[in-house]
Parts: sequence; C-alpha cells; structure tokens
Amino acid sequence: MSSVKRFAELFIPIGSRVFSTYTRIFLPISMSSISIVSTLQPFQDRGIVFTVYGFTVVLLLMYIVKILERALRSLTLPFMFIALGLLVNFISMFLGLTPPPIYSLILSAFKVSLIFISIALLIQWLSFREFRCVLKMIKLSSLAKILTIVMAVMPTLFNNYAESYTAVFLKLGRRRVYKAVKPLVVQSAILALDIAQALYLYGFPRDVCISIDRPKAKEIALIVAIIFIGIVLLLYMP
Amino acid sequence: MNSISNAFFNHVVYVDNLWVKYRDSDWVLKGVNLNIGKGESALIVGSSGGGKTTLARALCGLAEKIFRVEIKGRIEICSKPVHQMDLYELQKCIQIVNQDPYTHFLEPIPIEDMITYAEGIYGSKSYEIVDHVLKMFKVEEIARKPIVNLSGGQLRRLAIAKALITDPKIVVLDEPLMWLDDFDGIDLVMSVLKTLRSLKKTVIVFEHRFLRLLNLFDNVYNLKNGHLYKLDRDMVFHKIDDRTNTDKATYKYRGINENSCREGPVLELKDVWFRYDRGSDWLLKGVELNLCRGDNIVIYGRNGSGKSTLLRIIAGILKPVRGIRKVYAKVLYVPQVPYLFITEDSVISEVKTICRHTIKNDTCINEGTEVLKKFGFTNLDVLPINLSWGQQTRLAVLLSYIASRNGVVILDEPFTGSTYLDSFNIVDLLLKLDNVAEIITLSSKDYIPLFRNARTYILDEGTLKSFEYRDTTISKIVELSKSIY
Repeated sequence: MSSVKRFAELFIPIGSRVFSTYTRIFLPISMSSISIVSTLQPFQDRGIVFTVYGFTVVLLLMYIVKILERALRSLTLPFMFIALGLLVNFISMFLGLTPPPIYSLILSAFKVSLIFISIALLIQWLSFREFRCVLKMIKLSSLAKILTIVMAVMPTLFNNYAESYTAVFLKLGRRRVYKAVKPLVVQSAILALDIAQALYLYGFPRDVCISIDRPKAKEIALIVAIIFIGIVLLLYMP
Repeated sequence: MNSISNAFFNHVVYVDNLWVKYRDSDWVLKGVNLNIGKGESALIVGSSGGGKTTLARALCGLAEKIFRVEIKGRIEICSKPVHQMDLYELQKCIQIVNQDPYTHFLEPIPIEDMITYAEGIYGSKSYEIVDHVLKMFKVEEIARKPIVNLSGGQLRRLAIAKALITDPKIVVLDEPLMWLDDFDGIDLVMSVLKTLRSLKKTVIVFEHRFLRLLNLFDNVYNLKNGHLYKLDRDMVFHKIDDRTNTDKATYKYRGINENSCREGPVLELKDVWFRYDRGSDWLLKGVELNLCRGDNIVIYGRNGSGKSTLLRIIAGILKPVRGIRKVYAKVLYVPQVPYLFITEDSVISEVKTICRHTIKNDTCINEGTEVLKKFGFTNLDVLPINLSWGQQTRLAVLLSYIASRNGVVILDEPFTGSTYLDSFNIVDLLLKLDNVAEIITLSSKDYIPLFRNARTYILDEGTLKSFEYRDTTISKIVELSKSIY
C-alpha cells in the first residue's frame, strides 16, 4: 500500500519555475508524443536509442528541478503494472503461446515507461493554475476546470484507498480483502459530494491568468533541439 | 414574521418553523426556530445524529442544493431567502466550515487553492489577502504542504482561514474543535471567535466539546430530537464550576519501555524514525514502544506531531524509514475517517460480518446488537454512510470492540463527533477488553482521565514521553451532559 500512497504524490505539483510555463508544457508533451509514436508501426521494433535518449532527457530535467527521487518513487505503481505485463508475456511462452520477441517486449515496456515518466514530469512541474490558464488560452476552459478538479482529488483518493484497504485487510483478513471495494466506492462517492459542496461554497476555480511566463530564446532553442534530436534518432537510428 | 420585520429587528439569521428531511428518512429537524441578530453569537450543542450538521447545511443552502433534502419553513440570511442568493452574495454573506475539512479544498496544496479562490474575488490583491488570513491563524508554513501530508487538525485551521477570505457577515463553524489539539488549536479557535466577535460578525458554532467555549457565546441552544431549545447559560455554568487550573500535566522522557510482558509483547517498536520526504524534517525520531496483552495506551499530542502517522506505521500502511516494527498479534485499525472502515450495507450486516470469524457466532451477534442498541443504534438496517460523522465513528469503534477478543486495536481519535457522555460510555466499554491491547490517539487531554489505568504518552518532537494528567472536570461534564442530552 505504500506504493499507492506514493502514486498519490504524482498528482501533487511542485510548480517549478526553473523554466518558463511554455517550456514546461512543450518539453514533456513532445517527449511523450514521440514516445507514443515510437510504439506504433513501423517503429515498434526499433527506437532503443531514442528511448535511452528520452529517459536521459526527462530524468535530467527532473534532476535539475529536484523532483527526480519523488517522481520515480511515485511511479512505482505504474512500473509494477508494466513489469507485471512483461511477466505475463513471459509466462505465456511456457503455456505454448507465441508472444512477441523478448527484445520487442522489453523495448515496448521501456517506451511505455517513458510515456509515463514524461507525463509525470508535466504534472509535477506545472501548477494547476498554470494548467487552467493555458487550456483557457486554447479555448478549453471547461475541460481545464474539470481536469484540475479531478487531479486535485487524486492524492486524497489514493491516500484513502491505501487506508481503507489496510483497515479492511486487518478487520476481515486476507480472504475477505475484496470487501475493501465497497468502502472505496463509498469513499469515491463521498469525495464527489465533498467536491460538490466545495464548488457550491467557493465556485469553480477561476482561470485567471495572472502569471504565465513566456519562454526566453535559449529555452526555445532547447525545445527545438530536444525535439529535433528525438525525431532524428527515432527515424534514423535503431 | 416577514422579511420587513426581520430586517427591522436586525436579524441576519432568521429561521422559521424549519422542517428538514433527507430522502427515505424521517424528519431530522422538526419546526426549528432561530433568530440571531447582527454581531451575535450562538452555540448549538446536541447529541450525535441530532441534526446539528443538517441545520448548518440548511443555513447556507447546502442541504437543498447538494443533499436534495425536503425543506418546509423559512430560512433567511442577510435579509434574503438563502435559495435566492447567487454565489457572490452567498460568499459575502455566509461561510461555513464543515465538519470534514477536506470539503474545502479544490487543489492539493492549500495555499494554491486559497490564492486561486482569492484571485477570482480580489484579482491582484489575492496574495495580500491570503497572506493576511494565513498569518491570522499562524498557518503560513503548513499551507504550503500537500493536503495528504497534513493532519486533520491542521487542515481544519486552514479551512477556517479560507472561510475568512471573503470577509463574510456570518460564519458557521461545524465542530470547529474536532481534531484540534489543546496546545494552541483550541486557543486559536477561541481567539478566532473573539476576533470574529470584535469584528461584529455573526457566529454560529455547532460543537460537542463545548466546555471551553461557553463564555464566548451570547446564547446556547440544545438541538434535541429535531427541536431547538434555548439553554440557561447560568445553569450550565453553575453545574460545571469555574475551570480553574487543575491541570497537572507533567511529562518526562522515558526510554525503551521497561515493562516486561508476561506472555511476551504483542507489539514492538524499536528506534522507529519516519519522514514523508527526504527533504523534510523527521516526524518520528527513535520512537520506542512495547505493548503487552491487555495494555491500554493513550498517545496525546498536538496537531501534526505524528500520532496518526505512528498508528499507520503500527497498522502497516507506512513503513518506518529506520528502525523496527514487529507485531505478534492480530491488529485491528480504525482510521480517523470512519467510513473507510465500513464495508456492509447495514449496521446489522457489519455485526454479522465481524462475528463470522468468532467461535460463538450467535452469541457474538446478540451481544453485539445489544451493545449497539445501548449506544443509540436502534435501527440496525440503516445504511452506515447515512449516519452522522459521530455515529459512524462510534459504530466503527464499537465494531472493533465486538471483533476484538485478543490482539491489538488501534483507534485514531475515537471520540470525534461524540458527546462527553458517549465518550465516557465508550471508554467504559473498551476497558472491559482484558485480553486486548489498545492504542488510542487523542489531541484533547479532556478525555485522558477517562482511561483510568492507561499508560499515557505525549508525542512531542518525534519521541514518546510519559505523560500524567489528572483532572476531574470531565466527570462534571458527563453529569451535565446527562441532564442536557
């Protein structure tokens, strides 16, 4: 359950100001977009160099803004599921099924991890206010409000999931731990009611764009370079 | 009485023959009348499930809009029917701080939430306004921490601070002392109440732990069986006596618990250290605790001292960063948020599920239902989440009593939402569990004297220190409660 609690930390933004708002949006979105493309044909069986490059860039950025350890810790749960998927594929070999080649499986797992880690970077270093402001600029105001409210309650939700699971596990034992589903559903409903009350009392969070930083020339150059190198590596390297 | 005469008499809160019921339930409020003038303050006490929170919700319009209750009668605030107010009018007129402080924040970092809220009203002045309310409540530092890392008491302080951003005319506080410690938490609320009074705000407080608040209010009411009665303040004061300083609070450091257990310990904590992040301060620093079968341990401490964190380590939700945790018996953990413990569709189903593991199933069920009825759970088919917060907490604690025959029971703030009388009765019941070790955390030392033979500790600066506290006021309060409730 510690991994669930750590996963909750993923949705608590640091809101770093080392880079401008636009840089903090474009960089992770670019990396995750290229990573998604790399999982499609005809790039499925290639892109190892790009993947290593992508990890290097994202982890370096996380290190610079001092969120590396926290971000990796919070991704324990998704990484566990990715590892589980890998394991299932390996086991399928012994069951007489024909999964994809091992190299492809491992490469895909890393690419998916890169997608997750890029999204984690985006969520961690952009504050919700900046999120709302940027989405408002591209005429997605309603989506912005709903998205940030959902993301805001994720930490509380996952945190309480961990508590509820443990409380029920201790109350009813391992065999009946499935009963933890009900308090989790109840917890979600009650959180929804809490949000409704908060919205009634305080209104939707306003998307007032008071402080959005524009990128400097160096940052623009950095964004272009990173994306360009990523694309080149994906297209021309193994 | 119509709006004109309401305004004439300067009532900012006017409730006339109010009836409220939830869907599929009986009437919770039955003909409540309440008139509160500008700048006046009212304290409303009452047993759990008596309708206090329902009345609080009705006053600010939450009951109808969010909980879809059926309402008869009239509610006017700031000379206008509450259901006719728009959001801005409502925010400037009335603010409520709910029992559950989590209902107040729409962002994971409180200060970001408050700035966003203030920006919508004050624009560029938002930082100044937020800074001002944070300083008023001395919560500047904790406002920057994630909500999930804050204790219930810390969150409550922040919720109260947020409520004052719009400078409302009426402030409603539903159980403001819940989870607040009595180091400075209660003093802070008392100071807030005094400040609100000096600012001529109308204040309405719904509270169980009314002892320290009595002399701050113009009027005291009791909400009983859906009806509101005005209490004679002088009568209440007379029964308590002046609370002179009878505190005998002393504490000293005790190292490893030297008590040896006849049958071996059921729980051992050795040099336990914990912090949430590498960059943050240590919350627990070398905690040592040995627990024997039948031990009662009370851990008292201020908000944010690490009481709930310590319990979570004992329960296994969190792992110590350093040190050892060993448990040699079955552990039952009742969290601070009670509905996380409840798994069934009715109270009686909860009892049956709990008793399924026991040897004498039928006896367990019969005894269990008798205990529940004694504590006011007359309708055993009710859906547990439809109960009030205090009732849910009591239900979870009583279920832990029914389930426990040996092992360790961990109760985090088990008296939340309960009257002094209910708390007294719960402790009386828990003390009958001879073979069960209990660990209870409290942020109010009012309840410590109820645990007659417990080992009491204070969690202070990350370590457990032995703590003694003897005060007889709680007994007088229990007697007073019998006459009120």
